[in-house]
Order: sequence, then structure tokens, then C-alpha cells
Amino acid sequence: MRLYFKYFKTQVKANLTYRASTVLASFGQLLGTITTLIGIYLLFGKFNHLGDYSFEHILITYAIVIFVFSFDEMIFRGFDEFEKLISTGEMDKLLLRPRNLVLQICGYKIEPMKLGRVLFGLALIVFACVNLSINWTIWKVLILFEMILSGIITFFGVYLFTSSITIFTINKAEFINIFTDGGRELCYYPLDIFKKFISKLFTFVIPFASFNYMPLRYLLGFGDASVWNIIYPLLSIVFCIIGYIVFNLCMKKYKSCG
Amino acid sequence: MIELKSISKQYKIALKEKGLKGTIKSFFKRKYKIVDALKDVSFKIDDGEIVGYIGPNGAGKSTTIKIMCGILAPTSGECIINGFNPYKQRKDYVKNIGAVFGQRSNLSWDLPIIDSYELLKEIYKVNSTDYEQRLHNITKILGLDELLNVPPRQMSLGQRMKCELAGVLLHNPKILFLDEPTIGLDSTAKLAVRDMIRKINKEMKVTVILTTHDMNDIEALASRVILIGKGRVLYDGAFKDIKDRFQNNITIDVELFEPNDNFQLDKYDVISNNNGFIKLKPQQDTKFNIVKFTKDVYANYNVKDINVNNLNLEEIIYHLYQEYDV
Repeated sequence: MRLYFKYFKTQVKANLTYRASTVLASFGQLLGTITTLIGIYLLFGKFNHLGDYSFEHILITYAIVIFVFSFDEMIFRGFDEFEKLISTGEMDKLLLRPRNLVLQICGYKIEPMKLGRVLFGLALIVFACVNLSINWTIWKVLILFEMILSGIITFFGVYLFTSSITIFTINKAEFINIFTDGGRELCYYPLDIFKKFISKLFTFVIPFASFNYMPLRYLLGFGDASVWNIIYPLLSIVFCIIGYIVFNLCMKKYKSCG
Repeated sequence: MIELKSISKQYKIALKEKGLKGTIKSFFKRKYKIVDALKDVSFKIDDGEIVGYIGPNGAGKSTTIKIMCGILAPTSGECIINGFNPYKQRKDYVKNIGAVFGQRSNLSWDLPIIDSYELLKEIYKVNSTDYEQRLHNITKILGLDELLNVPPRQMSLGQRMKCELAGVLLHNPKILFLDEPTIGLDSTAKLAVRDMIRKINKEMKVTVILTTHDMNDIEALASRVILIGKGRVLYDGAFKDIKDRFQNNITIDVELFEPNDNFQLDKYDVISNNNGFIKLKPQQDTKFNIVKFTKDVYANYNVKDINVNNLNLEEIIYHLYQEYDV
């Protein structure tokens, strides 16, 4: 952990040497996010609700995914740009160091610029929570934290799996984006509003539902929600552990470039 | 001690056919070719040596270095370095080695060198007392004081290479792998970097293995060379021996005061004779000796000037490559 913070500090310092660029980039990131939000708002001008969900419900879903995705992008950026590590041979450098590889890749590139979006996501979560008409208890706050944590873990797991593929393909296989960026776009809405096939896929294959409709339904106090809805998010941990094992297995097949 | 026992490495390479049709065809049905990058490579390197590892492009230099660094696993054979198997015991092993790979940097482009060094300190878990002391020593030996607060982007290539070298010494490695450490440097910087490498080897007792295409690096640094070509070790021994072997490939220019078309000298062939400018070559099995040669020429001819054209090192290596057919 100490090493990771050292990586973080070093990268923040390096980024701050380009002052204007940092400010502009953070601002740009923010703008992009707000545009999507406006889109959703306009959509609700036409319809009052989506399935069981009202605008406030969608807002909290959206806020959580924005927060967790940007958080992962900021913290684990090294994995997001994993194909660069592989194709430029930078991976060799990491292999020459006596540290855990996954930790090093996480620390390899950290993007403090994403902080603008992370903070925006956080503010949005708070705003959405205030607007939700539910009785907040300690229990419900804990569930909210569970959702956020399993979101962070799930996307990290996705990074591990997609990177495992990249070890063989060397260039980033574009279809990978279906799961990263595509997954994020999908999770703007509670997944159970989509066709059965899609909601099943992202419930049982990739556990996007762990921070999405499953615990959400429980949080909102929907009638059909059982205790399973809050145990289910633990699946994200399993998912991530499998990802970690697969990644390490694939690294054994790593062929160095250059 | 470094010991490689009949190391082989094979790569599987996908064959691509020509043209769009071929590309589409090979997209669906791949044909593979097995390429031998290394075949039965064995050598031993003792502590404290400087070894030049040379060979043409694609000979297998990088592959060997990567195997020795624990980045790649050999297909067959055994590599034991200081009691470790580099690939299987990667994390424990790499604490003891340092590597500078050509254009790949360990330093953060935008930050003062000292910040990068502190990150390295953390990565290698060097404790603060050791770190301070080593940093002090290294900067003193290598003369880097004024560079510590400058970011690499404001440095010259030579300065950057010096800082890279210092960076890999902070964790006190016993073995240093240098891949083309002088590539792209001007002659002054080359001299400085060579000087540093020599100091690292002598004063810090670090075993150095370096690959290079610059034969002057080898001549200045390495007493021993390992020549590799087409994945095999072609020569392993003293650099001087190679040089001696090609003694006969020199030419000698002799200038006379008056042209003499009948110039002849025992044991030497006349290559050309132009208006008193004569080019000679020692015959096979003649050991060229400048004193004897001069005496012989002066005894018979009225000589104005003598010039010996030593075969330069690039040419020696070129001849070696040809001899071994690589």
C-alpha cells in the first residue's frame, strides 16, 4: 500500500507540472459527464418513469456508476491502458522489479485528472440520496456503501479479465470495450429494465448487477426484494478473485515485445 | 555466478500471406512457424567480470538477456544465476540485479531525478540509511550532483543515461545488464558512460553484462566477449584473441621518394603500386611486426613514409560473422 501511495504522489506531481493541461482536462471530463446527465433528464421529460423506476431512482444508479467507473479509471488506469504496456515492451520493466505485478500495473499510470469526474460522481450520489424519498437508516447507508464498493471491485475485475485477453492479442481487442465502456453505459440504468438476456448476462456472467438493480431494489424497498439482493453483491469479490487468478495464469504465457 | 546450460528458446510465429486475400485467409486459418531464437546456449560468467555480449541484429541477444533477467522462460535448458532460477523465482531474484534497456527509462519524464530515485527506493524497499549512503556514494563516484534536481526532459541523452545507470544502482545489485548503453550518444558522452561503467564494475564490484554494436565499447570495457549468431554461441573468450586472429587482414601503405615499379618485399604481397604509392598486405602466416617490417623496407628502398591501416573492430566482427556464416 505504501508503494501505491508513493506511485500516486509521484504521478500527481508529474501531472501538476503541466498546470493548464490538468485544469482543462479535468474540466473536459466533467463536461462530458454532465452532457449524459442532461440527456437522461430530457428523456424523463417525455416519460415519467422507466419500468419500476422514477427519475430519482435512475439518478442514484447513474451517480453510482459514474463514481465507481471514474474512481477505477483514476486508480487503476494502468490496466485501462494495458495494451500500451504490452505493445511497447514497458511490461518488461515491471517484471524486473521485485513487487507484485498487479500492484505495479495499478500504480504504473494514475490519472489524477479523473478526479474532477470522481468528485462530480460523489456529489451526484449525495444529491441523489437527498432526493430519494426513503427513510435513511444506518442499514441502508451500509447497503449504499456495499454498492459502491462492489462497483469498484467489479470494474477492477473487468480490467483484469480484459487485460488477460490483451496479453495474447497484444493490441487492445476492440470488443473489450463492450465490457468496460459498454458496461458503464448500460449501468446508467437499472439493468432489469433491459431484455432478459442482457440483464441475465450482466448478472451472472459479469456481475454488473452487484452495484446496480439487485441491491438497488432492496435499497428502494421494492416489494420483491429479498435478502439475496444484498448478499448477491459479494459475487463481485469472487469475480475479481477469479480475474486475478486468470490474469496471473495468462502472464505466464507473456511474450515480450521489442 | 551466472550459469546457462544448453538454453533453447523457440517462438511460434503466425505466418501472414501476401495481399488482402492472404490476410483474410490467414485471419481464419493461421499457419504457424516455429522459430529457434536460441539453440543450445551455454556459458558461465564469474562474479566481477565485464562481459560483452555481441552479435548481429536478430541473433538472440535480447532473448538471452530477457531469459537472464527472468522476463522469459527458456523452452529448454537451465539458467541459474546466483543460486536463483530467474523466471521461477522472479520476485526474489530481481532484487539482486539491475537492468538498463536501451531506450526504456526507469525515470519519470517530468519530475526531478531525485523523485524518481525515491520511487525506486520504495519499490526496492531500500531503507533510508542505506539509500542516503548509496545515493551519496553514487553521485560522488559518478559525478551527478548538479543533475539531481533536473527532470529528464531537460537533459541531454548522455546525462539521462548517466542518471539511468545511477538509478539501477540504488538497490545495490550484484549483476548489471546493460542493453546498448551508449546507443545514440555523442563521443564525449560515450567516453563518460564507459568511464562510469568501468567505475561501477571496479569500485562497486558489480558484474556487468553488456550488449552493444559499438566495438569501441567492447574494446574499452570488456576483456571477454561472447559472440552470438543465429541463436548459437559462436565465440566465447578473450577479445584480444579475436583481434590477434585478424592481424593479417591489415594493409600497409608505403610512400617512396622515387617511383619504383619493381617494388617487392619478402612475405608481403603488393596490392597496388602507383607512382611511388604502394599498398602491401602480409601473406598468410606472416606475423606482422612493425619494427621488423620497417627495417626490411628501409634496407632496400628509399622510404618517405609508412602508414599501417589496422583493421577496425567493425571489420573484424564483420569478418567473424562471415567466417561463421551468420
